[in-house]
Amino acid sequence: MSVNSIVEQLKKNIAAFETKTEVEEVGAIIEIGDGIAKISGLTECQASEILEFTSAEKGVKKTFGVALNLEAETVGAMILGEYKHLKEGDIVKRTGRILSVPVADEMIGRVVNPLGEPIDGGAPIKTNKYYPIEKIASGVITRERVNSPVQTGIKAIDAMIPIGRGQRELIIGDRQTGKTAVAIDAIINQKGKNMICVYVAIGQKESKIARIVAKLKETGAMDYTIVVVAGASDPASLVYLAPYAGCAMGEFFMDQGKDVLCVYDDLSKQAWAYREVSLLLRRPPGREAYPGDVFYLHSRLLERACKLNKDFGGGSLTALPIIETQAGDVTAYIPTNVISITDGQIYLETDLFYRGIRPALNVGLSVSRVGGDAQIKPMKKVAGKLKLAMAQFRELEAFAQFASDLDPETKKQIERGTRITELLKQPQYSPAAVEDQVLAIYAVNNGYFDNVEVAKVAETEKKLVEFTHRENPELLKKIVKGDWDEKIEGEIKKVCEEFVK
Amino acid sequence: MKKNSNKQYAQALYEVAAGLTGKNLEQALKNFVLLLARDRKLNQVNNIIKEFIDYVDKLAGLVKIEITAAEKISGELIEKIKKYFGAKVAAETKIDPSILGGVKIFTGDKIFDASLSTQLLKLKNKLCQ
Repeated sequence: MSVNSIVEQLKKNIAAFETKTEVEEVGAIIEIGDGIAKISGLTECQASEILEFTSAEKGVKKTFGVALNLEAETVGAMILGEYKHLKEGDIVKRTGRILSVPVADEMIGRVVNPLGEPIDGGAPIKTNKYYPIEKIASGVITRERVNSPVQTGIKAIDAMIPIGRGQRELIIGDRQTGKTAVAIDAIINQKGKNMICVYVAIGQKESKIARIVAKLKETGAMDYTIVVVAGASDPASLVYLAPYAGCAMGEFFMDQGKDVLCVYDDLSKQAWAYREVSLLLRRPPGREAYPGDVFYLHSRLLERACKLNKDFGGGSLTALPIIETQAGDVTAYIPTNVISITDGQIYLETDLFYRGIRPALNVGLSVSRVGGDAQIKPMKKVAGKLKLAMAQFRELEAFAQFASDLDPETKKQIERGTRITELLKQPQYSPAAVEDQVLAIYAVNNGYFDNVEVAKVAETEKKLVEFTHRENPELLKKIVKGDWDEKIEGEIKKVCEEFVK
Repeated sequence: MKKNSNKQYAQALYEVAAGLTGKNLEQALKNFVLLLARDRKLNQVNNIIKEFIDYVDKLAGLVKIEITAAEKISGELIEKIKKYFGAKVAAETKIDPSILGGVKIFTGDKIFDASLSTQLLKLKNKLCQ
């Protein structure tokens, strides 16, 4: 562009500029502290409207807040970000906008804060599309039953606690039991599966977030993932908003008919942040000092996960909320709430973790209430047997510790059970493809591994998978497609028999 | 018990004291001060007086405006501005060179911003797009 044309352009812009008197509604800060401001005036203010705080000091970045409490004389607002420079008497302006986040395709692969601003040092995200942070969930008419699977790549989950697209599956467990690992593995396994992932890190250590982002980049998972971060040092207001912001970004893609996986890591920290904000706003505390609407806090978030039907684009939003329990206590307030909201839970245990069973999944307490419909047919067939064998094994295992003499039938079941348990162990960051899972589970279920030493189960499984990929790749393709009949079963049987030889 | 705001005290005082004269008014004021002492609100007296004046002005239909300009403005202009806000207007003027030109008018919880600095800022934002 030549200099002249730039000048012309500028002239045109300046000529088109209208001088208008701005009418702004303002209030003044009465009281400020702990990230909460009490404001006088602002008589027309709406609930969850963005407010602009202008400091008397010059050259300070604009500060924004959200109106939460609308009272007779005053408005209670939480401040998003730094508030130290604000003072009593400072002017607060209404913006007329309800709290919303920018949404765009370019957000994929970025690390952003709950307000949608990039914090990875990259280019600013340019978009003029905004989604409200709080949105009423899709209604009955727009929905459809969960019918296609989310493959997490974790054998134990895909076989026994299957997750469907549009489901809400809780990951619950004590600290250091591998909750985040399960979620990250699930994200990594979505490569090439037409899924957009949103990982919302809520109140976590920045070092842990940095490690996760590095891992996602390394595995190529960042190409389809947005990371929303409200770290441990961020104010409670941002921590409270983070999951809603992540959900809004996910909804943008869902509305385009795409499939989205949202991980909220973790919601107990969000509940703490909300408790802090509520208590500072002087809302009355209830059980465990949480405010009365802490159930609604989580239910309105998780209800936004859904599977839309064809008429509404057919998109889906799967939610994987994470809850941390204290000393395995699932009867605390927040865990019971979220368990009752979600469509099932993956329960991770410290005991199992230290016994080397990783992922430390408690198969007895973990359930999936809707995902079974979404499993592919071959998996459904082989996993049914697996569940039964595991249930029998659990019962016999405790009993067998005391008895020295066991009849051969019982002994066989225990042997089988230990091999299944061994098979379901899986190291971190190594998701297994669904066809390999079906094959391995079929083999162990039908006794092809009975003569293998327990310590060598993993190795043998690997060999079997390699063998089949070499000898009969056509069969694996059929399994991926979801075909299952006697002929295919026969083929699998043949492959296993050949392999054992 | 919920704490009363300064505004509520001011309103209560007005309602009690309205129409009283001489001894009665004195007694009412005395009781009011005792009430403030009981509620430990004596440190808020100045604010309550301010609220009281605001409340009386509001009842009388008086509109208060504050005009900020870059330079001293003429009485004629102030009268013109006053007309926009109704019959009874009390205007205060302030001088703030940082707004460069034009005027900024505060009234109640609204700002009418016709200052040059804001216009320039808007122009800048538009050109930067």
